[in-house]
Amino acid sequence: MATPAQTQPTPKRWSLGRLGRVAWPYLLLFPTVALLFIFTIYPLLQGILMSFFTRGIVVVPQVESTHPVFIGLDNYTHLLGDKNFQVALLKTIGFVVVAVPLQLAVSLALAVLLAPQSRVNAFVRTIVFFPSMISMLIVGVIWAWLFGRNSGLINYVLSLFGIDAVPWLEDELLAQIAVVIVWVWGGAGFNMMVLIAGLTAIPNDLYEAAAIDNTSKWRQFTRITVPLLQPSIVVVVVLGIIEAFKVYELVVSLTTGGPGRATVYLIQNIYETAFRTVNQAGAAAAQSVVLFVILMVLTILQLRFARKRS
Amino acid sequence: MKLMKLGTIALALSTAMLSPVFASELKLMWYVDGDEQEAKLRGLLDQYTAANPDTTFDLQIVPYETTGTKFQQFAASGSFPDVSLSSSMPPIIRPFLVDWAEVNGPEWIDQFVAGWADGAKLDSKVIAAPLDVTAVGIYYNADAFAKAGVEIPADGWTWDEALPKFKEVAEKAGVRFPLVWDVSAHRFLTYEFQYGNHVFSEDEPLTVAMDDASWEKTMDQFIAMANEYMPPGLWSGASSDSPVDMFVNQQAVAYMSGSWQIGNFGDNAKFKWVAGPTPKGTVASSNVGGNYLLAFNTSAHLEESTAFVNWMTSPEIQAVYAKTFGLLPANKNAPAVDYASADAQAAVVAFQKELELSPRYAATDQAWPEMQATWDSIKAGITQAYVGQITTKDAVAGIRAAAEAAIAAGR
Repeated sequence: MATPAQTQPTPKRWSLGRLGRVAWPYLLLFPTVALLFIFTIYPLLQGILMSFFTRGIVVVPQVESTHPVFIGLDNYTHLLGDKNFQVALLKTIGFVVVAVPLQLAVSLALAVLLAPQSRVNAFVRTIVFFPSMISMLIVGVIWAWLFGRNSGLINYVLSLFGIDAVPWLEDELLAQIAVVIVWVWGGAGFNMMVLIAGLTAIPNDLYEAAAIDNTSKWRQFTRITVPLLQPSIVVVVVLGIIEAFKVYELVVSLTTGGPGRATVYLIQNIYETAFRTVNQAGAAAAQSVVLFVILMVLTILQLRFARKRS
Repeated sequence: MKLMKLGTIALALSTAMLSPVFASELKLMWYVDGDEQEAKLRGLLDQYTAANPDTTFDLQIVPYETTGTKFQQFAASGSFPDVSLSSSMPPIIRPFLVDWAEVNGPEWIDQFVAGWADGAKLDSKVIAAPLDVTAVGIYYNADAFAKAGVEIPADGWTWDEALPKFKEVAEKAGVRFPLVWDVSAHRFLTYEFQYGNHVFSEDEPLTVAMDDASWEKTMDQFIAMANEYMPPGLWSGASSDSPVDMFVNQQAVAYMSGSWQIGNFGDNAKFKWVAGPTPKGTVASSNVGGNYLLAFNTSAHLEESTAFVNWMTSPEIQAVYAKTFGLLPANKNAPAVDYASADAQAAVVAFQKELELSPRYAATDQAWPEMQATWDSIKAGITQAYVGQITTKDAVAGIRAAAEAAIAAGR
């Protein structure tokens, strides 16, 4: 009969080898976590903290007016009466609502058309993808030249047919439409490639079976392609919404926020508040926190919706 | 003998090896208009190094628009260049600026053009060295005027007299637009100056000195003028049309810009052009601007930095600098500048005369640092009023609010 002391398992000793085996995964993770903390988590927390203060974008010990002063939620309550912020937020939401579905539709159409392997399709895919490789700043400059009212290429071509110059960028509505068109043009190529990757993963047997059943092409698209492409569509929509909420470089180079302030979206408003007014970094941080919360909620909702559907 | 030779060689070698330790490389932050200007600037710096072999330069060219952000980064890190070009001295960098009254004495600043020199003063300190002066004014396509048989009056005219003439010239000479105007708050403000309006008081204590009703009336007039005489949509704030390109390509009879275009027109305008006289409103006014050189007290080569700035702002080099870049020298004692062409020479004389005729607020308004936080509201106000998003009353109220907020934010 064994004594209790004999039956109890011997506690494992923390040998150097075992310690190494346990610590190894954490060591491998450390650089990524450290970078994430330094470049994402810390700035995020710093931004949230900044939103409770009135302060300069840079705090200089020798310049008293830049020193942080705690004001609680004042920056947030101020946003309720800040017309520029509210208009910019509404315009941004409008831009997202119009531009993201439009870009998805265009990208999906291009993906379906250009997915089949052929030399012509490969060439056209390259052409369509090309704008995605250019900075949005450059895209804006190019289109500003094209859209110019008195010296733009498009109006010049129209004038050859006796058509009056169109105020593409000088009319409030047309300027907003122009920003949407150029944004879609600039990003559709990348989304098309994501969707083509998704399309190639759909088994061909499903289409063959549907064809045997005399299912129309449209029905195949809505009943096979779209449901099975959903993971890729979710990626495109989530990325699209985030990018659309952050639209800035394109607008600055295309319309500089004009005519008047017709195309001033949220990021430009945050920039102007932080860098172009005196000691308003806290107010700009509060606007950024609002944007962060909106994006986080939308992303969580979309991912949950996608999970439910799948 | 051998020992002496060896000793001499060793001394020469050690001197050669040690010399970089004593040499100073000054870090300069500068902005230029294109490669040609950068080459000219490097030529000038080489000239300084030739005379002062121990001082070399690490020239860092930045876009003018980014200088404000750069200063913020420098202030945050506490690491500044040795010398920088700037058109203003934002509060966050002031503790780091060399006091020229201490270096050269309090009277040193008096040798510079009065309005621009005032902007360098901060209480008893002088925190910047004036480098060049700019004036806002008009250019005419003299060929178009000659073709239309319309004379440009030597003794000036009012906007009411000039505008119909611009239109007449455009029609008779087949020029597309009577007038183009740089779409900037600074150039628009000149029009307000010409009707007696300005933003800030001319002296301490600093207050907002706007006559709102007069500002609104002038803004209404400007919008009417833009609608009738300028390219459609130019002042919407979204137009990609370039006024300077339109003038250089002979699509405009007159161009409201500034003295900094003289060099550009000298190189690129393929027609006869003249500067001024700029039409006046109720008063004649330009808008005094320009650039300063800033030396930072954080520099490890402070002596060399101040020597370089003193050299750049000395009367003789001011004349060379002004000629090289087609600018007006900031130093009043600079010898007469021999500009590249007769047209450029005449333009400089015309703008200098307009600066002299300008009211004092044409210099002080821009010299106040609070103006830096007011420019955006002026641009937003005039462009929004132009496209009808807000009334001119709202636009003026917005400018007033921004100016008051800038004063309240303190220095």
